[in-house]
Amino acid sequence: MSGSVRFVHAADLHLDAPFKGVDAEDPRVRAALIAATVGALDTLVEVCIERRADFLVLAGDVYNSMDAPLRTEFAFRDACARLDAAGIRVFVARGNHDPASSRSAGLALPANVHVFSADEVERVVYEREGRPICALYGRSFRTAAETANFAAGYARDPGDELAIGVLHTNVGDRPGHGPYAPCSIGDLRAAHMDYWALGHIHKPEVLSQDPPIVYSGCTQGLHPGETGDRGCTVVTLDRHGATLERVSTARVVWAAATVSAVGLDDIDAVRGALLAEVDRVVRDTGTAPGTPAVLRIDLTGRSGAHAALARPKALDDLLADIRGAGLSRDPWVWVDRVRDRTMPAIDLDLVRSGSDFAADLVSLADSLLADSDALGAYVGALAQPILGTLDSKDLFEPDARDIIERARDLALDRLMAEERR
Amino acid sequence: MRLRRIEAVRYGRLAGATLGDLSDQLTVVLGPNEAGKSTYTSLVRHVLFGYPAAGRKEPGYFTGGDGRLARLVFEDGDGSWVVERSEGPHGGVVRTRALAGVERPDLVDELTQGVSALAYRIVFGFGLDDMAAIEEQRAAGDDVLSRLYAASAGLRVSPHEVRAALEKDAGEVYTPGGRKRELNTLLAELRAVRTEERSLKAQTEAYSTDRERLSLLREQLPELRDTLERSRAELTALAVAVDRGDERLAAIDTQEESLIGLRQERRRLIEELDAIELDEALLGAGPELDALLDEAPLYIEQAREIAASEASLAKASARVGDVVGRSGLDETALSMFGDNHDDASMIEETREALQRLQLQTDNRAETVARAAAAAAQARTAAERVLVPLGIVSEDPADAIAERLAALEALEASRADAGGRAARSFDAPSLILLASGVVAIVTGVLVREWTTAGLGAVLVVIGLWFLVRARAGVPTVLDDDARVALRVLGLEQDAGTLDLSRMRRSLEAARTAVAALEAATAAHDEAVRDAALARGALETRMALWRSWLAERGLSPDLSPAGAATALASAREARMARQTESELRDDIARRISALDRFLERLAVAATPHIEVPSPMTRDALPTVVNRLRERLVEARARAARAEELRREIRPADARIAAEEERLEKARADVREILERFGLFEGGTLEDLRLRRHAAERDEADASAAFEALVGEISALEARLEQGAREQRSAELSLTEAGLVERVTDAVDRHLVAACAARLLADAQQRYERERQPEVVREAGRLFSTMTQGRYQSLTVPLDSGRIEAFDCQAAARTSDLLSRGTAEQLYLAIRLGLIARSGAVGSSLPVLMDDVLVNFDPERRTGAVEAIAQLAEERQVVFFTCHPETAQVFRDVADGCTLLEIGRIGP
Repeated sequence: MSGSVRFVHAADLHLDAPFKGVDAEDPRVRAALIAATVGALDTLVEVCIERRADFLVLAGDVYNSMDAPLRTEFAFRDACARLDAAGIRVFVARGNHDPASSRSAGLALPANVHVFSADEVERVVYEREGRPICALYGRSFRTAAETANFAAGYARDPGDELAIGVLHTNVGDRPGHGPYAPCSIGDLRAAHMDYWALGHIHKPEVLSQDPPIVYSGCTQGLHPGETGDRGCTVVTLDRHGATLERVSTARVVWAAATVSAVGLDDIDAVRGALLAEVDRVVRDTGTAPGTPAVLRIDLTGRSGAHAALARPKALDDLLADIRGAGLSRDPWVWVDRVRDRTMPAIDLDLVRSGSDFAADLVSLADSLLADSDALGAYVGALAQPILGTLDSKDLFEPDARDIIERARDLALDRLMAEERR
Repeated sequence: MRLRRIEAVRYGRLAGATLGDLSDQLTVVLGPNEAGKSTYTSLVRHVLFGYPAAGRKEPGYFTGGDGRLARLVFEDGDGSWVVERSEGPHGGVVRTRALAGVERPDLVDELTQGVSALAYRIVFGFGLDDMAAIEEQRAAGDDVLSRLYAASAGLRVSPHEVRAALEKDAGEVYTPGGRKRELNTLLAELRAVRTEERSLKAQTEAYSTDRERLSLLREQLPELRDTLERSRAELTALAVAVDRGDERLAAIDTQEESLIGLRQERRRLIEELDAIELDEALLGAGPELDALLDEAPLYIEQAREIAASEASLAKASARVGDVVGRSGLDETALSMFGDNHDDASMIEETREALQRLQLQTDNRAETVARAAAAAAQARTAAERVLVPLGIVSEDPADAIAERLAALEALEASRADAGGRAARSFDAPSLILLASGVVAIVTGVLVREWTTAGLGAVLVVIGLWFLVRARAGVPTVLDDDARVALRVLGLEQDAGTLDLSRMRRSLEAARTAVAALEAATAAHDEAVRDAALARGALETRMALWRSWLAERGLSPDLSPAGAATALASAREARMARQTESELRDDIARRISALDRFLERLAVAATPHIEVPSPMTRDALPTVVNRLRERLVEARARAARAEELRREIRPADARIAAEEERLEKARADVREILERFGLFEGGTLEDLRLRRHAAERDEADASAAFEALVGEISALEARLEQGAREQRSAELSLTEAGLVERVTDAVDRHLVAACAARLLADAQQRYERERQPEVVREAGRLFSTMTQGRYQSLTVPLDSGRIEAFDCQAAARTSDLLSRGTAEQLYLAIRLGLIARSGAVGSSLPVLMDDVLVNFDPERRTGAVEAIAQLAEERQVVFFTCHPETAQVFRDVADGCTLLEIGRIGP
């Protein structure tokens, strides 16, 4: 083997993953979100072709589920066919979302696609003009819950001039992520690969520089929590090392912001601050300028505008206005939510020190906040009827402290900030 | 701050009225019915809180014109201010101005801080009709007590209202059992979306079956494809072989048929060639005959032209005879006359000369006649002059000259002797003289000699008279004179006039004689000229006749007749020339034609029948026949050549076809041998094997097509499903709905918790703070009822107030008598006001005859309680009962009494 290779490392495409936590009313936004994961795949293909990659490495979770929608299978097959036409091979390791046991339409993938075995670590040699260039080692998930340490089965052949490991794994058993194919960085280093192409963690991250152990991250953020850049890693690898380049593939960028309402005394001022945040998002969408964004904003701080915001429908009207403005931008910004976390411009300590009705109110809230059991029971008693109407999948645990604090502020605001009737 | 005056500028029936000054503490206003007591109470409230609009239940106290206008005057230690409310929208326009002290534009807000219009009406400015309102409002959910308490705590709104609003907010999201709430709507939508998702999921399950079937079919596909391809390959080979064998057999049949045809054709060509008889002699003479045939049209045309020329010749001969006959000339004349140009010239010259000479002769004769006449006239004129003078001499001119000489001598004599006679002009003489001169000149110019002669006579006469006139004076004659007189034939006494007359006569005579001589000379000359002209004419005629004779023509022939004869002679000669030329031409043509006919006859005789002798008329027929014969011979020769050319390639084709036939037979043998069919094998055997292979291929193809069709159908179905985005749409919709549900639950919980906190705080208030008000009210109620009732309670969960009597028996307000209940309500009001602290502290408490239903004892107790309140707050009590006013006066020291009268007439 000799020479260098250029390949694109991607993972966690989660084709056709349903977006959660977003309330997209606008048809344009809905269409963009629905097409986002498949669109990211298209962008990935374009990146491979434009960068003249030798091959594409997909480190798991191409599909979002074991029973992926048909259109995703067709989309993936078509994407591979485009790469085949461009002479670019595709190496796929299955992950926990699309293990080998997944149901498939049985669509025949083009000849340029190789799916790593789920039985053992498989070594595949990439050749150029009949000459071996590098070896790729990979293993697919057989089932969704593979908890064995797959990395331990990887071992570089001494004859490999260049070796690439492909694995869908939770390195270091990170909390918040499924404990699938867990391993440590030491396990990975022990395999003596020149590059580790990992999948499973959606946020791009380089765990090690030597050798490069890389989570390329998902190609498209899937929910409001997956903010910022999402894409793939273009790798140029030779005997001397690897050069990495991040390329964005997301068709929609998720963004979140906290806007302080301190010093803002009315709705107009709040609107101005929100529009400024929208414009900031338009200007800065990570490494993908020109990409539409879904933005969530929390309004915080003690503000003179709190009372105005607390008026019925005031926030809804403001949100509708901001959404319209965001959609008129290029690229558009869908303001998914503006959450009012402002507090009335009331000195709670001063109120608390009094002996009037407001003091009674604050005192009552304080006593609840000081007793978590009582707090839970107090909020739970009110929440139980309404939560009982929800499906179990929609149930959530209300943040009793947050609710009581906001309820206290709301009541005080109505009592003290309301115009005299 | 205290209310000092109430001024009704325009306010119902109180227009222009003023009430004041009011006391800082207690003022009792006593007035009869219709004095405006209730109106003043309303006025204060309206100025502070706004005029009621039209249509409200309470009286509006409307006025016409500029609308309502009322004022309140407040005072404190810093100054005094007028609060004025005028008519306007939203309760009217309120203005505050300082009468003393600094301006306080927010005075109304300060005064009414924490007190709503309703609270004011219920607690601060009430009448008998408002007494039960506290309890009624509480029963209706409007807790005036808590409202007042909230106001005392600096809260702008009632906790009760806030709580209601929050509960409303929470209820809009969710109410247990409530329909069409926001959450219920969202949940309904969510359920609908999930139902559809489940439906799609079931559909997906169907797709899964399809996928599995598709995978199985794809596994079967390669084997079936191989089988099909093998059977197709065998079938193709057999089909190709059979087709090729069939093709070769068909080729053999075709080639055999072709050979038969070719051979038959060759035989036919040879037979036809043999049947053709060639006229070699004719073909050999072809060039010569062609040349003759080429010339023949020319001679045929010449024959036609000869016939035409002969006709023309006959016409020319007839014309010659006709012309000669018409000319009347004999052959000699025709031959001699007009044969040259000189004859015509001669004839023309003669004609012109004779005409000219005849004309000249005629003119000269006329001139002679005219000259003779002139001479006769001149002679007569001369005789008329001469005779009177006595001159008859043959030579009158000499006689006249002699006499003139004598006259001149006489005149000279007289001139010498007698002097000169006076000259005078004789006009007639001058006229005659001038006329004569004119006539002479005219006659000479026009060669009118008679005129000229007459002119001369006139001149002479004129001169005579002129001379005679000049000789009018007689003279003494001398001898010469006398001689002269005698010569003249005059008397001795002849005077000058006579002399003049004589002179004129002589002069006239001399003129006449001269004229006569001239006329005579002219006549003579004319006669000579006429003779010469006649001679010339005769000479010319003689010459003409001689010329005619020389040509044998009649001497009497005039030049015109000669000219006609000349034309006839020329025409006759031309006709004869034409005739001659035609005759020569015909002869020449006939000669050439005859030579051609001879040549043609010689050349054609061996080949066709030719008349002998050969005539011009037979020429076309012979030519045509010869040409046809020649064409026919040549056509046969050409056909024979063509047949010979066709026979050669036919031989070659026959040879090639025989070779191909043999090759095709060899191919068939090779095909059969390739499939093991050697001796005895036929193409039919091969065909049977192909039919078997076709059945095999059809079976394999059907199986393969069925498989592929099923795969295609499955793929199409799956692809159709793949294009379906509904699931993704639903997922997104579900996500949005879940978000909204979560948000709604959150909002509901926050609002519900806030309402709950408020309720709990209210309960704490009622439990911990309300008793002070109730205790105070109980104390006042006890005072009013002289201890009949000891205390009060206001249960939290009840709208009713309970009173406890001295036996601790509780009675709810609805069980009290009217008077007692009113005392209870008054006590509560007074308790509220007493414990409301700073709330409404500057507002006056106005009571409108609220004690009418009290018995005297309790009235006194009530007055005492009111008096106590007045120590803290300003109280204005309106009554129409003097005894009540008296009670106030008795009980309350310093009480101010104002009396007002009835309004209007």
